[in-house]
Amino acid sequence: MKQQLIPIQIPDLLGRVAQYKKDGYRMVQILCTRVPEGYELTYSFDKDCVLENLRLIVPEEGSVMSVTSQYWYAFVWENEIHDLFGLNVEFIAPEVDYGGKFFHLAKPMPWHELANAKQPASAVKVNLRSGLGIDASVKPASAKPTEGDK
Amino acid sequence: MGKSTVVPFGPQHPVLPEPIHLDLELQDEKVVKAIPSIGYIHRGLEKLVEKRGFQEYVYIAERVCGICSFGHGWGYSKAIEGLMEIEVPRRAEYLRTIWHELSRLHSHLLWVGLGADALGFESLFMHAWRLRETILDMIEQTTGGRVIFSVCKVGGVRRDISDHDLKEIVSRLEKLKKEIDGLTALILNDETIHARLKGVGTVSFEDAKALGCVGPTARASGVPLDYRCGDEGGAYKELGFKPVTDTAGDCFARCKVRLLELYQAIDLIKGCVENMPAGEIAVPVKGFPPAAEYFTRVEQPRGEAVYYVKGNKTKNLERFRLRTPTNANLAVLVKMLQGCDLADVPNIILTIDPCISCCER
Repeated sequence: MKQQLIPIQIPDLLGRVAQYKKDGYRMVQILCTRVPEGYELTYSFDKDCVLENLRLIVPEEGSVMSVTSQYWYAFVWENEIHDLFGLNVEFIAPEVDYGGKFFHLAKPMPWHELANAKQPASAVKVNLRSGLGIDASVKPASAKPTEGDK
Repeated sequence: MGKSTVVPFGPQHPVLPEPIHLDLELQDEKVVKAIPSIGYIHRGLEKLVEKRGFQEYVYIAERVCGICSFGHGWGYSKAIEGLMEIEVPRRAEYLRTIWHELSRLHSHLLWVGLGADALGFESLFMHAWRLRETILDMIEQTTGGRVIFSVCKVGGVRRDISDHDLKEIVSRLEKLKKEIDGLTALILNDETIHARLKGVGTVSFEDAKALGCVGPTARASGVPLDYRCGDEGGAYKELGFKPVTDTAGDCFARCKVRLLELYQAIDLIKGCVENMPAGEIAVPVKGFPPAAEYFTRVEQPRGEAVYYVKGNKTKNLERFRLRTPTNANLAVLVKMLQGCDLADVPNIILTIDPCISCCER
């Protein structure tokens, strides 16, 4: 399938999206991937079976403007990205900004953590018997015993 | 004008095969606003790609949905094949097309049954599901499974279909076609069905385009959007293909488009059998996906599904993303429900053929 990936900066997003709208493109999706720099967003547009993708990186504490002013139906993906990744999408059309209540999730922002992120073994806590409130810390085999272990 | 009331619709409702919740703001019997919320069957399947090998993940991709399972396995495999520049043998592409169209037949017949059930037309529901059993039998005969096929793999397919079985499929489809004639005539000429579906939940051509509709929902409004016309792979290019469309854009038109697509699917399967190339059904896959990314699309029974994969030179992918047809059709659903009667809500929801397990993944 013919496809193009076009890197852009955050301030250019709305202008580029408006141009796609003007040129008669259909918005296909918004994709979010968690990367060490923050969030990698991909906006896909289709015309005559050719897919063009705008790519931008939003820093960890940053936010991105909603594109619902151009493609109203993007609210589904913007609400999803907010609820699953915790990325703040600003100015979603008010009637379809569900404010974090689109996805009913047991754990908020389940995909906020970086994929395959390795935590130091000493920091990993395993909740063995949560019902009884007993926790145990897993320590690396090489860890020196602490005062409390003796 | 009466005062506003909010009526919760779902997640458990007699007409909903899968859980979605809608807060319907009503004024008298009219819906003023519909607020959807999902997440009741969110399984985090996309995230699992970080823990499963890229070849093993085909089985998980299939489990995104029990109705379009083959299409998801195919879409994922196709994305990996694009990423790794693997050329799939032609016979495998033809076999994939047959199974994909069988899936479309069973999905549309299942939908006819559910739609009939929502209308209170129980005998039609049983009739449609009886016909669907014929398709499931063919799928079981050729793959070993009825819902999850597990025949698609990266580089081709796991099973071949013998010439004898291919002939048998064609002869059974011929018989089925006659039964579908009866089903179609009944639905398209029944006054009660007309009264319940005609002029209800109408989406104009302009709105269908502006709201990003896909699949039969878009085609019923005259938008000839069918990714089988694109470079989807499979045998569609060789067989020749023209999307089924209608212009009315209402619930009845969406129903009609699906019924006509049953005939189209049968013709495509017959075309595949007649032109089935000889040769291998798979190629060996060596190495790991490169550090690159790839998009691909598959026209599922409910519409266009978009698959994205990102490799990182290991056996696990860094990211897999699936934008399902229901995900794209939720926006039009919200618009269609505005201004409709409360009694029409179930029919409008059903005619987009929502698949919530796909939508949530």
